[in-house]
Amino acid sequence: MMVFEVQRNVGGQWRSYALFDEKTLAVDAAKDVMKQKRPPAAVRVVQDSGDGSPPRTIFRQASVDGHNEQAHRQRLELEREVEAMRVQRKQERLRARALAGAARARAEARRQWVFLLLRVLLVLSGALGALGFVRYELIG
Amino acid sequence: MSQQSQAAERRLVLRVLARWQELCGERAFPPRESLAPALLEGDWEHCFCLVLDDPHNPRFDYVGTALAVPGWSWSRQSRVADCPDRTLLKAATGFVPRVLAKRIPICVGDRAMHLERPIMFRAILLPLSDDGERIEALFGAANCREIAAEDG
Repeated sequence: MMVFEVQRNVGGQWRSYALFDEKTLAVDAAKDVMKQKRPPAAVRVVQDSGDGSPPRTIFRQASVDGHNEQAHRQRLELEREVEAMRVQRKQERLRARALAGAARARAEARRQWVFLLLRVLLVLSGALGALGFVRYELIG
Repeated sequence: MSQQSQAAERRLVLRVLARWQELCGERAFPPRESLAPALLEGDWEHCFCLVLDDPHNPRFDYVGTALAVPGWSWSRQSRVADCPDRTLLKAATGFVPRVLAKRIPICVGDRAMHLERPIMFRAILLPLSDDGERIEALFGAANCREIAAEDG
């Protein structure tokens, strides 16, 4: 008869905890053991086929697994936060760059207008000077 | 196991096993008196307790109403051998020697007959000890569902 033995690791030694004839129940019982207020260092489920073949471990969970999983989750969360901040900073930089570009374009346009005005004034004053000279030479 | 996860656990045997484990604390087995109706609430009526004054034929100390056998009223003098055959209670007490040999809780599920109807049952037997060493009693829990005759 196939049996599934839940074993707890206490003080470095595996001790029998309960025996089941169903794998799912045994694995769930093992998981329950690790949810206790004071869980053992580890728990495992050993399957004994009862046919003379050596027993084999079909499930194993250690307290440290929980810590590792928690640390892994925290690291993933941190990475997500860092990535979000990086994206936000990049967007802010792009926005600032766009604003600076627009300001530069406006300043350049202003400069162009001033330059054009100066040229117009120069041309006008030259034309007026030339006209005065012509009047002076021809009319006297 | 936490109260929340225990409430979520739908299998009687795992709920009872978790309670037993909580009561163990640092000991190998919890004392007989520690298992009280209030601890098991609705599960209490699916439970029974055997006193091992005679390990080959233990005496009933308690039988929950859900395990009662019509036509047979148990008393504190009733023994496992007195329990009518082809009942859930008889099936649930059928593996006492294995528990005493292994000295750990054992959970068994199988087909059986109960009140002339085929059932699928699941039962657990858990050792109890006042001194934490000598097993003086066994606490049990069992439930079942009826199955079609051809499945049995």
